Amino acid sequence: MSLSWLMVRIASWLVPRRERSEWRLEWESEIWHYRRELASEDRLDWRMEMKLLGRSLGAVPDALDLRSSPRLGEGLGADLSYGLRMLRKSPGFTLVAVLLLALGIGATTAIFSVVNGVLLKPLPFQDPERLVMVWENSYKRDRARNVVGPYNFLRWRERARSFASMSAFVPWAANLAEGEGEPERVAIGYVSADLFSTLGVSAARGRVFTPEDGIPGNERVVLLGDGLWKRRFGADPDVVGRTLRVDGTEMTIVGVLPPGVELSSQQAGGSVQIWNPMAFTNEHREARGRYMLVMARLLSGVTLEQAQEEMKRIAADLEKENADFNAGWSANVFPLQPELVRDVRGAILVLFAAVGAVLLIACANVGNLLLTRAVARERELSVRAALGARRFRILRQLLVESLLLAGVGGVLGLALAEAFRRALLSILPAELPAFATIGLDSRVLAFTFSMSVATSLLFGLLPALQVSRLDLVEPLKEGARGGASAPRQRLKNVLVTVEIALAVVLLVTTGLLIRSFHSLSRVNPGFQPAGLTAVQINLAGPRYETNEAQIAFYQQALAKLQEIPTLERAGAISWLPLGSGLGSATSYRVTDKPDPPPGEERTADVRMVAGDLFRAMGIPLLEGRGFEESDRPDSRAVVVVNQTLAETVWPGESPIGKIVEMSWGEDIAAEVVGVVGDVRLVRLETAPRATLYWPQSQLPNNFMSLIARGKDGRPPAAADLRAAVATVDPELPLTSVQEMEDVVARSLGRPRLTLSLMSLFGVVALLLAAIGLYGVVAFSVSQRVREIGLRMALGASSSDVSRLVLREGLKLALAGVALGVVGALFAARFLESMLYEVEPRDPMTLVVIAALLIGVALVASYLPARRASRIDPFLALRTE
Amino acid sequence: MNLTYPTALVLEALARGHHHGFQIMDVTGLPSGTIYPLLRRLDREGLVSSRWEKPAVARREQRPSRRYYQLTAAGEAQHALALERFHAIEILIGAARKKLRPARSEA
Repeated sequence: MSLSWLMVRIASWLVPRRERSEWRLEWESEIWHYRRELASEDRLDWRMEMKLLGRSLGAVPDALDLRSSPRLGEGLGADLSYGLRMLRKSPGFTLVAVLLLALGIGATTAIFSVVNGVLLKPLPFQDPERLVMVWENSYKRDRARNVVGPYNFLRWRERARSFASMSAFVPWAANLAEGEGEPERVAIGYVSADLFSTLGVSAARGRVFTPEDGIPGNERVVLLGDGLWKRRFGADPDVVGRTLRVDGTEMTIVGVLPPGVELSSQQAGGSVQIWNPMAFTNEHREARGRYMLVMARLLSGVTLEQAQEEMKRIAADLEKENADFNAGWSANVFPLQPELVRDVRGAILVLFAAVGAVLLIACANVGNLLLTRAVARERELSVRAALGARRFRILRQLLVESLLLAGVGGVLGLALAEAFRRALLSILPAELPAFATIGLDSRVLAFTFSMSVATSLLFGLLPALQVSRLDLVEPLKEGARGGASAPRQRLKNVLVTVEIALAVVLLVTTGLLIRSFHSLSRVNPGFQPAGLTAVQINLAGPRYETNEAQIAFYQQALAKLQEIPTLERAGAISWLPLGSGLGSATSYRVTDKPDPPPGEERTADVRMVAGDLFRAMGIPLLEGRGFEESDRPDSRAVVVVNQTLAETVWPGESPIGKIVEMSWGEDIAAEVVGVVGDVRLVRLETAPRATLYWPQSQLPNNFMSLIARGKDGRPPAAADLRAAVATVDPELPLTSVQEMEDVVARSLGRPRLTLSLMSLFGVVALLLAAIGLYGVVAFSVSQRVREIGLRMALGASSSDVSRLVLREGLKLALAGVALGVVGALFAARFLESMLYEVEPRDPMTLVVIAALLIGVALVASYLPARRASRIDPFLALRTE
Repeated sequence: MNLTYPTALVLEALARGHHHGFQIMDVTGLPSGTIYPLLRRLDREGLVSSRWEKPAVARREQRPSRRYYQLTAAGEAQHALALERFHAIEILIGAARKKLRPARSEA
């Protein structure tokens, strides 16, 4: 027993069983004879043994060759060209199948390119998997992701050992001006000087911030984002070193960031375009209030769990050290990428699943087409089998044809995907994180390719297996009806049932989204948006440093607005309602009630208002009064509360005359003079929260939105508003003038987008399923012509016959609907977070969709039923 | 069929009376993983026929029986074509022959 003999033994297991013993015999015999010859010449030394072993290694490729050819590879070319010929011969079938697949693959690829760009592609930062976001966790209020206070950020940074670095980022908006250029308002990021080294980003030109930039007094430097550099500076290569006025302050441009490094933020109203370092001072160390986003880089070797543990410990210490500020607060560490896409992740995945379902339905339809066509080809295949083609060969022939179909479909689908992708991008840019680049890269191409192969197997394999199980004799008989055997019809039925089920799941999902959207758009925002125009204004720079200047500006601007003849009333409010998804809030106390325990303080949204805001916006005054001219900086401090606050704090009492205290830079106390109706200030889907309205004259604020109501319900013209404001300060940038109805509509943008895509998929699914059902029932009728003829000859009426056919279609539809309802109930839990005031298992939606599907199924079966009822029994039986 | 250089070598080896797999490897210098698939292909294409020597003979000589390959008429024609196309093979195989022991056939 030598090594070479063993080698051959092992290799022989690769040889197909039929040929194995002969193959082994030949190899063993050759080795035996070779040895003997060498021995006879006395040359059988170890070197020859090695040579023999080397030679026996060749047994492996030999065995593999025997295994693969001629079974798999041989004749593949012939199969291909034959397949092409067959597809050319039935152009109608080919066209329909290819189009179905191209649409399915194209749509799936387009959505996948979004999935890829947003969810899969690593962030354009160094070692992005080690980047995390650190949030404060208000565990008593169940808010796991709260912005961070500088008090805690600075202490975390000193104490935490899990991170290589930890940086802060505050998105905001700033007025930008330089030279004689048009002033504009852009998103700005105030960042700790080390943010870019934390992210691992270096500048495309110039430099990023250095620690020196974070020293108080050095912070008058900015970095430009790639977009702003190209847009506003025409990609000027010499931009570094120039100065720029940001909110009226001269700043030096020290660098330009590479493209793709963008963080977007709702606060800032889009992707941040300009960056300015924060200089942390002792004031920050002791500051109350929370407003920062914190990003950190884990040290290598430190796991997320360890970092989380450490942060929890540190936060617990801080909770003890300053219970006043930190009671009820802990900290959370989450990986950065999912955090950045958290808002859109659910919607993208639901859409991806939906488009996948559409593709499956398309596959099932193509599968049914193939089965139908197989009947026409039964004779051809039987002839091949009778002439000795093995089942494998026939199976391969059929699979090659599916592969061809899917290949052509895939190529066309890719072209369609590019078109879909462009269409998609034009409707959803604002919805996606700025870093996401949605293109057709190699991963998307690989996806499309595997998609095509997978679909071809999906729609090709079952029919091929079914068809290749041939009965040799029956179809060759003269006059054989070439009918579908029972199992084939059963397979078609299964496919169409699955199609209907998938369509039900999709439509139920769409239905739920429609209901949710409907209830969302019927939400009363608490004010009347029709007829309102809003202008966002940010007073910045030396001119408006004093409170007096800020108060005076808004008073004058509002007075000027009143002079516009088409304008009925105007007011101003900090944070445009429903404008950005954000606002300010803080905790407050009331003097006539005991304080709640630490960590459960009363909190309220805080808004500054000026002019006749409540009446201008149509916010009802429920009790007391609104603000008046007499509420001046030096008069008694007053505050207006909303209904929710009044009812929570003083149930059954009048809040008028009570005292409210809060900290806003300094401690302030004011008397409640009025109660107004609830307004959804932040988001339509968020129930109104307790709100404190302060007069801007007593609590000055530099950024406000002027809101003006036109006469006769027509919103005042933007140009009029601009002109009025320009008479007060011609240098103020007024980039954002919008009608309130648009603002409200835009706040519904994302649900609307998801909804319209889902509706599209739902309708396509319904159509495809209906066509599929029609195809199956019609086919079954065509196969049963003689049977039906016989029935009629024996006395069945035409309505009996159509009922027979309808019942068949209905049976399939019911099975599909039942299956689909189960699927929809299962899928519902993934939808929960996307629904507003609709139960994910909403029975009404289920019933309506089920009824819709059954109705469509009846229509789809009606056509073949009618054809069946018109069968002439005489003709049907005579064709024999 | 497509006439590759290895094919031509094998045809020449067969024409020169090397009838067993390992012998053909020796004279052509081609690895075993190439020779057998090639022989099988030639067999399928009708250029080579193979048979097993009679078990009785082998048993008498107390050795395993060997498989024996030879050119068919079509194979001879193909061999002529191969010689025309690859002049060197005659010389190559000739040289190999001198170096090695003469082919022995035990059919």
